[in-house]
Amino acid sequence: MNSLWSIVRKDFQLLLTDKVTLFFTFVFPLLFAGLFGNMMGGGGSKQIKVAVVQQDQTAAATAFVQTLNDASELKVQTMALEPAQNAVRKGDLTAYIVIPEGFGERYDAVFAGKAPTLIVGVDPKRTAEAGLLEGVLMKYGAERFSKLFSSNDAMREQMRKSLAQIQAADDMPTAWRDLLSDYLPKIEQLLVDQPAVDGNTGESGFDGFTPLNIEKQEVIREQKGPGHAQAVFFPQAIMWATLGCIMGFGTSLVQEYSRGTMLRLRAAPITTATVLAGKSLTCAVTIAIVIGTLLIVGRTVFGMPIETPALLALAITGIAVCFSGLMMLFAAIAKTEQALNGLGWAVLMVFAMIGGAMLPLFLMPEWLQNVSHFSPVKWGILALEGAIWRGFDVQEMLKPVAILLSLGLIAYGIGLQRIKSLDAAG
Amino acid sequence: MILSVKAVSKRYGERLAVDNLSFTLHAGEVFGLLGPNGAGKSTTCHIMTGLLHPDNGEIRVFDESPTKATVRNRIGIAPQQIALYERLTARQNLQFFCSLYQLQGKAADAAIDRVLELVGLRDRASDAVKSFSGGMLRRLNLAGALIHNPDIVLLDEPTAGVDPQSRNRLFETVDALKADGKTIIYTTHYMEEAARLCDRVAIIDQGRLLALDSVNALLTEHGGPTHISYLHDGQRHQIDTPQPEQALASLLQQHADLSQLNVRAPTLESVFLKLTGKHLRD
Repeated sequence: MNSLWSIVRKDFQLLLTDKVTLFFTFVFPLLFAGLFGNMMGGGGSKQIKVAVVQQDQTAAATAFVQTLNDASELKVQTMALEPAQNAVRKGDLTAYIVIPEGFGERYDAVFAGKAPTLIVGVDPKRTAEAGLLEGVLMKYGAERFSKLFSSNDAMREQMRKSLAQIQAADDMPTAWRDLLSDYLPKIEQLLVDQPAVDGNTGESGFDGFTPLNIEKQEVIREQKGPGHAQAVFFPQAIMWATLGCIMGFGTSLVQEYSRGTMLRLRAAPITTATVLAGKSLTCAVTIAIVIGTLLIVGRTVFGMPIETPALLALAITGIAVCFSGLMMLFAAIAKTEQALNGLGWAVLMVFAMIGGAMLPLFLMPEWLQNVSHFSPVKWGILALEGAIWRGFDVQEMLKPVAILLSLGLIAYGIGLQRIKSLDAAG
Repeated sequence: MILSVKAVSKRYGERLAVDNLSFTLHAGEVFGLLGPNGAGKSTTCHIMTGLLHPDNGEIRVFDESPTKATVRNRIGIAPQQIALYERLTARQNLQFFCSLYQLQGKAADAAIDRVLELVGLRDRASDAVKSFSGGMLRRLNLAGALIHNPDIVLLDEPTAGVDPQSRNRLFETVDALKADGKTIIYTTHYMEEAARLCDRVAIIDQGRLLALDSVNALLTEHGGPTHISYLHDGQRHQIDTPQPEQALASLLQQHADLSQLNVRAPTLESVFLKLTGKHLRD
């Protein structure tokens, strides 16, 4: 085991002294994803894209819609209910907000005891964005209180409206109606007698009012496309980085033979399998580090959403095992660096082209999507997308990961046997 | 006897690289494998160290198979091709080789300092190997073979592409190793090196062992006569004799006024020429 770690440490030392490989492994994929992501309109916007369906045409409802339009946290499109539902279902928008009939009436009657209702349609899997949206709506819903309590005239107008609604309400208990009918006129009189106060902060001591009553509707999103350009380009960039990584390690393995160091290693009291396992392990760990780094940058710098982070570990493991195994196979077949470059890139380019590393899988025609089953790049991208935007559950993730693991182990086994037989033959 | 090769053969396709080779090594000797390029020296080395399996025959090292880890721990090999990682420093390379033999911590540091001192590279320990000259690379390659203090050291063409200064340093290192009781297998196609360093020399061509003995014995048996030429009475004369000392003494007694005396003793080159009909560097 010590020998294995020695080989891993040595290979990391070699990697860290190879500036070109480091650039193409870590920096180039970031440039790729960042550049293409922004060109394609990802932009890393933090705004929540919502549709507003205004069914209540009162002034209060219109004013609230305007408030939402002006909100910095939201990117609002006004539309009818059905297209709004479709847009959310397709993932074009995060949510739709319906402002139903009666919203304005309740919005104006602060003291009537009933909060205005909003209907929010959102994909139940997008819990983080749904929670954020609810907070934003509550914030703007609560503004009516601060507006109200910052102006005597507005409050007196509110008193009058509420009193009229209370007296007309059939469902209010008599005791409550009598109490409020007695109480609200006295408050109004007090406001008439009270001089206006400059610099009112709105902190009037009123608690217990609910700004908005939000009813949620679940909209199951169709799994067709991501809502963020980086969510497309980062999996692609990750696969390119992975391909570059395995070519780098494949070259270093071939160099162990062509430069004579493998002979020296084999003369030591360690097995060929240990030497090769060390190389593969370093390759797999490097791939995992590369993927992790790219995802962290994608999330923090470009704001790329990751729907199911926990499943990323499975995806990364599958990709690391699969492609380190392929590295071993390519290095075993190619005896020289030139042969490896020719063979490796010829095969990997085809894998990349049909596997969705150039054209996203979901944009491919159906026949090409079927052909792409033969590319490990496809399963790598699918596993990453499953965790990033396709919203895979564990069952759905197992398929691409199992395929990746199987491919990797088979490739590793064939490569190991070939190298052993070549060593034996001299 | 610490190493025995018995009737070993190895074929690469149609070509017979090693043909029914047999010999034994004694502890503490410098054993030379002399032959032209492609004679089968490196293949023989790889078979002796368990890196290659022979098609026929048997190798025993310390009475065990050379593939055993315990045996490999007692063998050090400096391959013909430089086996170093050029982007790492000399010390990092040696640290890595130490770790392959479970040498760690202070023991590793001491081993590294010892071999760097032995090959004269201690002041270059922290330099990247890619900055080394050909001779320094050869010396560090040798240091890598010695890092675990092996009993048998195999040097495969250790002076290939080496400047005279590094060559002399390598010779001194071989002398020091011999003085330390190590058994050394030294492959070369330079007869001068074999004559200078080796106690016994095996002459190999086309995978076959042509002769094996001490240098003097080989010269006596296969080297032919010593050629003595001189100028006397305005004429050049030549004597071929197997006993040059006696011939010279007699000559000087007979002709006190001879001039341009030239004595050309037989060499391993002439041994090889006699055995194969061709020169070592053909």
